[in-house]
Amino acid sequence: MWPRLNSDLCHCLSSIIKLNFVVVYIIMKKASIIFLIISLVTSCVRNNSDITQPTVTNGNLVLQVGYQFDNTALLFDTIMFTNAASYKISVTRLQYYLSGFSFKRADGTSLPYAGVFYFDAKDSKFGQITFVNLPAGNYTGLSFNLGLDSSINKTDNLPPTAENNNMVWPVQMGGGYHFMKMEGLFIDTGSVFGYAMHLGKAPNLVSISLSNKNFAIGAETANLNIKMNVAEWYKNPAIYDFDKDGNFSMGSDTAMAKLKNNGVDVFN
Amino acid sequence: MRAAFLIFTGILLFANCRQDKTVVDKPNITTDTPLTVYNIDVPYRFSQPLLPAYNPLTVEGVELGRKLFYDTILSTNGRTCSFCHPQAKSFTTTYTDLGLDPALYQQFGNIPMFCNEAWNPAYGWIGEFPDMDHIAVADLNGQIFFNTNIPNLITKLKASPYYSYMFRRVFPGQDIYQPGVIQEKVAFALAQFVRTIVVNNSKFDKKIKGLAVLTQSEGRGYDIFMNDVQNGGADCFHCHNYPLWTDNAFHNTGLDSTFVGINRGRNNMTGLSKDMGLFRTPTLRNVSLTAPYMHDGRFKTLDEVIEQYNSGVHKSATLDPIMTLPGKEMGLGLSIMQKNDLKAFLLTLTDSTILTNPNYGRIK
Repeated sequence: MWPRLNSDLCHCLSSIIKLNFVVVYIIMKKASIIFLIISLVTSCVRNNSDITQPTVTNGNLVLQVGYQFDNTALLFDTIMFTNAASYKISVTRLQYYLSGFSFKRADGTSLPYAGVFYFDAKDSKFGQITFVNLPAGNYTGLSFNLGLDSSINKTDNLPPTAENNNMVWPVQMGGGYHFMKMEGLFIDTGSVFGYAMHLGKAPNLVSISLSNKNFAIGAETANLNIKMNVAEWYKNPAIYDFDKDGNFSMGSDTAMAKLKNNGVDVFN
Repeated sequence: MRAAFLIFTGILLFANCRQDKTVVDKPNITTDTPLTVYNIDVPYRFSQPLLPAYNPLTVEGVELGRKLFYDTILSTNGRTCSFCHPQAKSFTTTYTDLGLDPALYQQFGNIPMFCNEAWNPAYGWIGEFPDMDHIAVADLNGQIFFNTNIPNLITKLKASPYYSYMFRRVFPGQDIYQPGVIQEKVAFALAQFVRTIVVNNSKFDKKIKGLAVLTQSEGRGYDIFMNDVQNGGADCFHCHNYPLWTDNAFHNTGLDSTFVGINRGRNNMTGLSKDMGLFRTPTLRNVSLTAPYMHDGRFKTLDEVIEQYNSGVHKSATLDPIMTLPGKEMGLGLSIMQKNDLKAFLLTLTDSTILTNPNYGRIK
């Protein structure tokens, strides 16, 4: 009997436990549904209420660089521009680095942004920079270098991209990288000659500061357009004359120093 | 559920068995086995190779391309790709050595070597081929080199157990045995193989790694190569920059003052006056093994090339600005010793290991 009673008891207990589980399951399921409905309702209420959205703390900025020759858009490979030394010139190549960015905030503080950015005026793939995760707010200007400061401008220091490899400044001539290669043709006394305004070496880093460049960083990506006025390389503060100063700058510290000084105002 | 699972499994197994299991010499690999990614070992200071997503490098694709490269199956005249691009000559040769008319230099240009092609953004002397993957299509469709009979090629490929298997393996699920399609797939496989030919084991490469020392003459030549003309150099580096020893750009370096036929250069492709006489900078790797020189093979020796830049520069409206330094309009004006030193340096760019590297040879 005992076994039989025991078996019945066990069966009875088992049934009770199963029933309990079923009840608990149903309660849980209902609770889940109720919770889901409450969540949806509160969610809808919240969306329709005047509760303030989370403050945007960071955003992106796209800096686009355009090119002009004084007041004319730069057209490559055509001898059509007249520089300050009265030479008719063309531009066949314009490649350079920008680095050392710093953004001026409306409150007067500055925000440095590390990075080296290669530009090729003939290749739209290398025509803009996207600065990411800038603090939200209003900005009034920016500063940057054309070239690489001495902490960066070391032989084989940049990643070995095809572009960087093409900008190498040989060790035999001081090492590092070209800051800029600007080449083209010019007419002198009726004949066509070439020029190669190459800039490099630590003393020739061009520091550029642009004020009154207002932009706001927020949820939407901000855009800022600046332009390089190529004519400025040849005229301010000193006129650069291919005949007198040389149509090849790379081997001449004097010629590069003149370009460096003129380069301060090439962007606007 | 259990019964359904068993039925489903049975269907899967049955379907799997019905798939082609052709096996050539790899009994454990089937045409539905995933392809194996081929990774190029990027040499020191090389950029990342330019590999198109539509023709990714795979071990199987490279093998197929290598097999095709040395196979007369592509032609009706017994020629192979290696006929014009023999490994023993750094994957180039001369029309004369092939018994062909030297006039072909004026029609097709100097036969290009294969060297670090995975890093080239464009191909051909004037950049007429935007990618490597379709270059061989022209050879397969033309009558000059292969005279390929496409229907016969398809028949032969289908009949070959190796190719029948490998084409389905490398290009799974594609109906490749159609005129137009087969040429592309053959070209894709060939491009995969050619991209694996990496040349970076020259004396100069070893010098960079500290494993070799240049002689005094080679060192002086290196300095001449790497200095601009104002500093007594030859300003070679602006176009022939390390590590590819080419900027892969187009230049008119003063070979001619008037331009006819093939010598019109990139102008033949673009029609633009600014491109008159411009050609893509060739690499200097293995330059000692790849005579003749220039797009039309006009120079038979390195000495002639150096002399061209030393005293034979021709002025024209598109002459590269780098070549126009006042006082050096005709050339560099190097001394005999400087020219010899420059040549000695150029010889250090020779990597003769690729001439016998078994990875680039005929599949036994």
